Amino acid sequence: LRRFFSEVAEDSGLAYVVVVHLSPEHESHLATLLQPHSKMRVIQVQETMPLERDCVYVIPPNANLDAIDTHLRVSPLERRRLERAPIDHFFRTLAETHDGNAIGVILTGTGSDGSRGLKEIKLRGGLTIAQDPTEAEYDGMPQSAIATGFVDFVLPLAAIPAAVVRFARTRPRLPSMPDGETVEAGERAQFHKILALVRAQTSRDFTRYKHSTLMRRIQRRMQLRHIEELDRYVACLRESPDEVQALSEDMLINVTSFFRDPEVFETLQRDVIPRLFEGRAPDGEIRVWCIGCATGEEAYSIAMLLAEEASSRGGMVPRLHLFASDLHERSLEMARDGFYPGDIAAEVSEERLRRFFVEVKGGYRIRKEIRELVVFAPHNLLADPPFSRLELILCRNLLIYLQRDVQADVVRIFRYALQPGGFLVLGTSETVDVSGLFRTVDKERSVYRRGEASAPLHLPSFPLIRPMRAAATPSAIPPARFASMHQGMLEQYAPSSVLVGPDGEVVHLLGQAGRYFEHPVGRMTANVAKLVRTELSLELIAALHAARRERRTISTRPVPVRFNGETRPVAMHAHPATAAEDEGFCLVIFEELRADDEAAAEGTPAHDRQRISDLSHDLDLTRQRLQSVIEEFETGQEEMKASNEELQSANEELRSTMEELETSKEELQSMNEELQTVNQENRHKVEELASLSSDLQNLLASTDIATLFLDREMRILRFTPKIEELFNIRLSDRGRPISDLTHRLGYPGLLGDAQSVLRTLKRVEREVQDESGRWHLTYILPYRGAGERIEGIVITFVDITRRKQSEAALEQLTRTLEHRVTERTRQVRELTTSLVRAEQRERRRLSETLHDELQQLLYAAQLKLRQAREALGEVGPAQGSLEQAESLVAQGTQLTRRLSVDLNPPILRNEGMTAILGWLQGHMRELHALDVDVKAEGEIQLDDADVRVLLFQVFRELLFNVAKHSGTRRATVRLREAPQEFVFEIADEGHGIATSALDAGPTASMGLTSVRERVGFIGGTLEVRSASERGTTVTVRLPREARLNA
Amino acid sequence: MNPSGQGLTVAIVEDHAVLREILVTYVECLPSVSTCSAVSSAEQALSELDALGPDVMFVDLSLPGMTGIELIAELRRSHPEIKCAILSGHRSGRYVAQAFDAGAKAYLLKGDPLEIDRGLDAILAGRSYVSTDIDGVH
Repeated sequence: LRRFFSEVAEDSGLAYVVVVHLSPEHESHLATLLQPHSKMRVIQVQETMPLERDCVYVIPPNANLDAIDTHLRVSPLERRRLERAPIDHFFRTLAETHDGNAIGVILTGTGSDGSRGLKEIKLRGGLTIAQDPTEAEYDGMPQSAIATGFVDFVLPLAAIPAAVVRFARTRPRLPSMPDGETVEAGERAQFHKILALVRAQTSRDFTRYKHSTLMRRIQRRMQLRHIEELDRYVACLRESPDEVQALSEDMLINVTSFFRDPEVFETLQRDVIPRLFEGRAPDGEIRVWCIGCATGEEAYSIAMLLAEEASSRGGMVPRLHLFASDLHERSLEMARDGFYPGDIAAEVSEERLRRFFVEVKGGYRIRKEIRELVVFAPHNLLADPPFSRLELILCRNLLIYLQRDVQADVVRIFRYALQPGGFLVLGTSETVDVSGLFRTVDKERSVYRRGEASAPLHLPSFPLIRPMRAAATPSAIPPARFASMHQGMLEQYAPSSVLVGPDGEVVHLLGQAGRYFEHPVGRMTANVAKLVRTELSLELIAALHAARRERRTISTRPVPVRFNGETRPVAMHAHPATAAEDEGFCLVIFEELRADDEAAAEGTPAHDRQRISDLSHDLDLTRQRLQSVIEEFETGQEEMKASNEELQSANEELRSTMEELETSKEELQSMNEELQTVNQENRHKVEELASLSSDLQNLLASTDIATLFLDREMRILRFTPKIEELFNIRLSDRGRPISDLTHRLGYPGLLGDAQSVLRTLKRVEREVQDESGRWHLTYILPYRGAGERIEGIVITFVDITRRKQSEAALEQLTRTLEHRVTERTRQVRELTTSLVRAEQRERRRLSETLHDELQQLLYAAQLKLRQAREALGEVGPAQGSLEQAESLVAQGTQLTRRLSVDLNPPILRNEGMTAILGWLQGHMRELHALDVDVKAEGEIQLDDADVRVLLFQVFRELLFNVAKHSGTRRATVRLREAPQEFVFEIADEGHGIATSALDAGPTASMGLTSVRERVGFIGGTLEVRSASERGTTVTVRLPREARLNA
Repeated sequence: MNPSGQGLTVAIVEDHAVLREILVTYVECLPSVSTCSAVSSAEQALSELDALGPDVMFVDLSLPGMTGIELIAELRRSHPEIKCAILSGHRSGRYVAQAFDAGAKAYLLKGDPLEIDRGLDAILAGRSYVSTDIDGVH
């Protein structure tokens, strides 16, 4: 908006009204926001205010704007949000009051508000512009407006102000005709030229339309083309067929909406529609014609009413037939499509919307069942034969566009087309002024009803179908004066005459013609045969007939007629009209002869009498014959009538067929489009497939994997180039069975495997070596086609020679390593063993040294000391020192002895376990105050000294642990002999060792670990069971043949 | 006990040279002993037995070659009149039992000089003597 107004010059001479969708709850600052950008005054509308040029008016929130003449008025907004369409509302009121001087501009916005209002503006001769949707921030409203086909220009924002001003400044110099009937003489020629041009190009005849309306449309087109002179516009039309088309389209514009003038439709629903159904047989039909249906809203409205009535009646209802006609093809197309923008929700009740419409994107589409009720057809009321046998005709707001005399003709057509008792609905401002043809049902709503009586078939002989007449006759209207004088004198002096229409009705009387007529008893009639005096009737009928047939004047013989008791012979002369367009009209001149003339003509009475009787006889015969002819004629006429009706219904059928064809054509077109789309998609797919295929080719080539595709009969389908290294295969071998080919694989079971894969669908995997010694990993898999169908076999050969080689090398390496590990382990063992042995040896040596040397020396010292003491005698201080020395040496001896024993208990020398344990028992009690309970089943003798020593050490260590950590002073040792092994158990009931500490604890378990290791040296196992506060049991298992370094 | 009724002739079989000399001097000083001589092995004891002519023989248990117990057993067979006693550092009851089985009259432990006095007294009194400090036999 800012950009818009910054483009507008301050002296455009126009008043701008801005209608935007505002939140009803919030105050609007739009006016203040806009002011800086506009050179004009910006005003928010309050209540009612006059419009001034070069001002901008802004809608206040929560209100509708009405345009009333030169003022703007604020009116309350519809309560329901859905119905709110302030732009439509304003446009509508604007169009009503300002006719062609209004310009509607739709800028950005969502929804479809404004579309409808634009139509109104255009209809009234205003300009309609929509912002280019590609440029708009929200393209909803512009799109919707453009879709209506009522937008004159689609422009970018920047170009709109200029277009507006240009339109407003173009003031075509045209006569102002306040609803005048005809154009002023000055412009008439130009005007008719325009109509002729339109007719020549579009074969649409607008001559019978109200000239003022047409002029307004012409003016609008001129404004759009920026032409100010009518003759220049005519020139423009000559040059540009498009402009002719545009003008013609503009002339046809009609705006309708669903249930327009709701009270009319209420009346229809309440009073008219039910009566249509009344007394209608279920196999009958109700025919309705909706004239000037435009985009179909009215026709659909009626269809909905009918459908509602039909369903409320339920059961068998007559067939419904709705004809909807218009001249405007584009409108008809839209009507056929049956799509309407979302704002129709304001016109159609929610229930109807739900029942008769399908919601689609951006609006609603009429449901198929309603759509199928209505037949849309292009139809010119003024040229084409009407639909007939109708129950209801809607022709709203069409007559106002027609000249008054044409209106009357049209109403006659309606009467013809309607069944007796049928209804006619006109626009609220239209009336039927041909009284007697219709009865008024509701004057205000312009609902009329055709009289019940079946009048003779009287169609105004389609006076309108001779289109050239209007153009040809303007000069036939002579200066009135002499003509009327002549006329008057003729009436006075000329013989009495009567003008008879083609259908035998008296059209015009002249002179004293009335004296020859006598209205018969019964219904009023205009038929000349019935009106004329009985005596003349026969002669007149014959004369008229002959005159019409032979196209010459026929005179009858004089016939005596009684006038007030006086008999006078009257002769009649029937003159047929000679002008082609007056064909069928006859002028009948009555010539009154004197009585004696007749008498003179009669001759001798006797002879005459004989003649008279002969003639009477002949006459009777002729009469009889005539009677039968008349009857035949009447029958023929009846038949003709019937055929005519048949023709008409055939015509209608043709129309509906055409309509259907039209629809099918559209369907075909859309199907064609769909097919094209599908085709396009297919092409895309093919391209994709091609690229996919080439991808696959490349992939296969790049993987360097030999792949072979076989079908279910083991014939070659495809293969990768790599295959050629394994098979003697060529491209030409495709289709040959695989068994025909030799291959270099050492794999005779290939075919068998392939067949079994086909059978079991389980993949087969083999490593095969070819003749050159290369290894191939072969996979055989079922080929799954589309839909998991098994279509064959895929065989791949992956060269794994290098892998194989690596594997072999690896295996070799592993073996070597294992060997080395074994060797090293053995060495370690040996080392350990020798270490253990060395330890034992060293212990023994130490023990022996202690025993054999140190102990002996100490003993010797003792002996010497003793001797010395005895030598000293009883007294002396040296005595005491010697005693002390003796005692010290004794302690040394004892210590040495214990050390020696500990280092190498003498008990181990080839003794049984009982003895060993017995010794340990004493040892433990003595040194560690631990009571060891030994429970042995028989004696266990261990021959290997190393084993014995080790085992002894193990026991001593374990018992020592008990003494040190368990917290008890008691342990139990159990010995058991199993078939293969000895089992020793050392158990206590002390604190136990936390299981976690068994393996992990560095202090407590350190001993255990070394013990376990020692047991291992002699081929045994050690097992510890312990739980906190539940004691510990250590089990040692030793093979019978245990030896150090086993 | 020699026929003269004089002091006893004692022979000592001890492989440790220093101890052997000291033992000889110690035993010679004992009141009941007239002479004391010593050899270093069982084999030497047997070969010089006549020269030694002992009434009482103190034998070390562990000797190079023939053990003390074997010597005692041999002597019981060949010279039952010689009263043998083990003089050893070993305190195991097993050895004590073996010694007495072989014919020893006493089992004396090295470590207390009085053992020799006590053992000799017991032998002279015709009793057997086992050192008090011996581990029990199990």
